[in-house]
Formats: sequence, structure tokens, C-alpha cells
Amino acid sequence: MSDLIDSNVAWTILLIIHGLISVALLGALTHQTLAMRKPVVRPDGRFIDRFQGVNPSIYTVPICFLWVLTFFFGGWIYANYRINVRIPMEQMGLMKTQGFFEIKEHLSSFGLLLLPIYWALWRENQDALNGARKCLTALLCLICWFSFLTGHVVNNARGIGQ
Amino acid sequence: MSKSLLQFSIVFSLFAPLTYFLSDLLKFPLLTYYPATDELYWGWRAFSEESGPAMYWYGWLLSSVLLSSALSLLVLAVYKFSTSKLVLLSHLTWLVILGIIPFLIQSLKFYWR
Repeated sequence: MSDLIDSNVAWTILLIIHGLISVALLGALTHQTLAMRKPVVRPDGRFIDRFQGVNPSIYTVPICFLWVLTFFFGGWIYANYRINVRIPMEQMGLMKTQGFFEIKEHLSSFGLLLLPIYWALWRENQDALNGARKCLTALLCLICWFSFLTGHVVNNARGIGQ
Repeated sequence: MSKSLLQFSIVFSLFAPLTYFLSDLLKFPLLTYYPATDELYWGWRAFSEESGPAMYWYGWLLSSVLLSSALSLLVLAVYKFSTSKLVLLSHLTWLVILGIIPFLIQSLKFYWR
């Protein structure tokens, strides 16, 4: 990757950046999904009320931005993963772990391809579209949690730089 | 937001996961990348002894984005959706993904042995 920095260190830094951005994405999506459940409440309530008591629409643009950014870094390190992680994992017989990573790869792509409608439905303030907006946001949240947890398990099984 | 942009976003997000999944099933990535040798080729190419393992993911995404954009523009050129149809199509986008998931898991049966 560079003459200035060891290749393994550089890939690990990229993986950490990918992970940190995904934490921010996870937080924003979880906030937005829970905040959709009921209207904004008074801010001096219980923790869960305060957690839900935000205007969910303010998260839309940051979520789109964070999804694209997480995806970009994921796509960047994916090439290294294909050679230095997937092949050893297959040799170790960790086929199911690898299978779950394949599902994560596809679901996160679906999430990316859903961003146009997700953004449009949050921008468009029509009551008729409320149901679809909630379902899409909840689906994106589930995909994000699944991808995050799967990424962690795969990294525990065989991380970049090992 | 203009109604045409809303319509495009909805129709695009309906087509895109389908074209992505079909690109995978029908071996139709726009390009194949060999990460070991940093080689890039148009279309689908198999693993080779010289180039190593092939990656299709980037190609599937590109195929999907291009095909879905073209299909969406085509559909919207000939058809304008009413609000009730847009609501239906919006729900279809997430339902389509839930419908694809079992087939996706089945297509990865190599890993579940």
C-alpha cells in the first residue's frame, strides 16, 4: 500500500476506520428506528424516552452519508480480505462463517441500493408513505446490525493482518 | 422534491436489488477483478491459475446500478404513477428484498454443507 507504513498496519487502520464509521451508522439508524415508534416526548423522561425522543428525520442525510462511507471502506478492504482472509478461512474449514460474510456482502449492497428510496421517502412528507418509510428504515437497521455483528465475528475468526 | 425524482428513486430501488441478484445468479457482472494481480476485465471471468481468485462484487453492483437506472428511466418515460401506486411500489421495495433473502441463502448452499 505504501513505502511509509507496513502493509498489514495500513490495512488494519482501514479496517478500524470502516468499523468506527459503522458504529456511528449503527447508532444513527438505531436512534432513527426507535424514534419512529412514537412522537417526540418531553426530554426529561426516562432514558428510553429520551433515546426515542428525537426528531427521526434529522438522521436521514447523515445515515446516507455514513452508509456510503462505510461501504466505500468495506469495498476497499474487500480485495485484501479476498486474498488474505477468505482463502485461509476456507483452508481452516470455516465455511459457515464465510457463508454469513457472503450474506453480509449482499445485504449491505441491497442497503446501498435502497438509499435512494430511503432518502426520498424521508424527504417527502406524505402521510401515505409513512408505512413504507418505517418498514424501509427498520429493514436498513436490521441489515446494519446483521452486517456489523457478522463483520465482528469474521474478524474474530480471522482478521486482516493475522 | 419533484415528483419525477421521487418516482425515479422508488422505481430504481425496486429494480436495483433484483438486477443485483440476477447479475449474481446469471453471471452477469459488468467486470471481474483479480485482487492478487490487480487485473480488471469486462464481463465474467473464471478463476485462473495465473491471476488467482476472481471478484465479481464490484461488477454486480455496477451492472445493477446501470441496468436499474436504464430500466427506471424507460419505465418512467412511458408511465407516470399515481400516489396510491407509489405507496404500493414503496412497500414492494422492502418486500422484494425479504423475498430474495431465502433464494440468496439457497444460492450460497456451498457454504452450508
